[in-house]
Amino acid sequence: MIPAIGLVVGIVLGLVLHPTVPLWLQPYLPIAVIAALDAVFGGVRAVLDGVFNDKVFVVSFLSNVVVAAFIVFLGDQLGVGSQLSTGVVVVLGIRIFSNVAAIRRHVFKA
Amino acid sequence: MSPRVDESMSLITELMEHPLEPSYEAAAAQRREAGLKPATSTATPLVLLTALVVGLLLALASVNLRAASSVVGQTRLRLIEQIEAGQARGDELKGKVTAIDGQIAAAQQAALGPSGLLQRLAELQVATGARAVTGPGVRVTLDDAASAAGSNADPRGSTGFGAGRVSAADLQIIVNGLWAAGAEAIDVNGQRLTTRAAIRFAGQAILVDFRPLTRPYQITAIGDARQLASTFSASPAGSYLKALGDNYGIPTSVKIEAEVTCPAGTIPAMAYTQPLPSTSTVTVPPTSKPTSTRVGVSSTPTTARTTSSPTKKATTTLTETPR
Repeated sequence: MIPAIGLVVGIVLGLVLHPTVPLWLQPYLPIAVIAALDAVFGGVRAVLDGVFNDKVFVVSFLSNVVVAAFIVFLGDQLGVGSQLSTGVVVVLGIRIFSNVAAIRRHVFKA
Repeated sequence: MSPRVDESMSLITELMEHPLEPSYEAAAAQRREAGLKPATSTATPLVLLTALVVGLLLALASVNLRAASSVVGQTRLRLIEQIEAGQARGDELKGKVTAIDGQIAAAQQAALGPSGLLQRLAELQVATGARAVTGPGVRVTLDDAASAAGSNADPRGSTGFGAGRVSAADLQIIVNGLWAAGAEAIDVNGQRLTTRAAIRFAGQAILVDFRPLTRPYQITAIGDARQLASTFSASPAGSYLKALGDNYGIPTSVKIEAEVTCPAGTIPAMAYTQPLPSTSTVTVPPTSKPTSTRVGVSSTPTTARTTSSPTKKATTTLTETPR
């Protein structure tokens, strides 16, 4: 419950404060969002599985975002940024779908 | 564990079967060994902070996406502002012109009033089309056929597309027919036909007095309304108008109006033209037909340039227009 409130507060803060993202950070934003979503769904599934661990959740979130951003950065430097971004999106996308499927099984028993 | 058949697919299998971070299980196993519950609380400050950051990230991303589109919107709004400012300026200038015209009329009244020249000026202005006139008349309306709406093809060009579009030649034939039927003053979509105004085309646009028209096309003719309408309908131009509707689906209508107005046309001042000294001066009675008014037929390949009487012009134009 408390993390959900934190999420909502974060969204409201972002919409109200309207902070401007520096231009050099903008290419990493979409990938960071997908990495964050992956960490969140992983955390929710862990709660439902009864194996949630706050430290693991935070570390997985941070490492996901940092590694995804690093891959995009590396790809940009090598000139294959869009291909590597696609790779990151595919891998994280598969994980998100599998985790959401597991959450669905827990919640709806289907 | 025996090697799987799909060993080469291990990466995807791993992804599909163990999407959860393995460290969750490892941490849970450690806590079990230490005799604690496998799961920790979700309400720790660390989790709250992370949730906050995730929410912020989501909001940031969505705001960022919207900002990209709002740049286009802002440019659009600015352009609309410019257009509106230009229109307001045009209206203002038009108002000024009207005011100055009024002053000119007043000055003319003061200067010419007693001498009777004002009356003569008004007669000449009516004859040349330099003054807005009113009277009974006929209103002919044409529009592009519904099938041709939105098509950019040439009006009845060689390709055969856009046959339902009204062409400049159509307007020329109808206007000539109206002159022949006894019209005294004609305007097309508010553009008065004067001695200097021509109906012509530029690309697909129809120009009258070098001003582009927009559909529907409305031709207003002042004259003996009933007689004008019947003579026009019986004339070749009238049957041409009917054929446009029958063959090409162009919606047309001819309406008798008790009172119509034709706006003033633009008559440029003549600086070099001098009247020839003549033994017998011809006076133009105010009610006479403006026989000098000719509809220019320049740049129309399908219509011949004629300088004969309006009646003859209408007939020759018709016979020379291949459909």
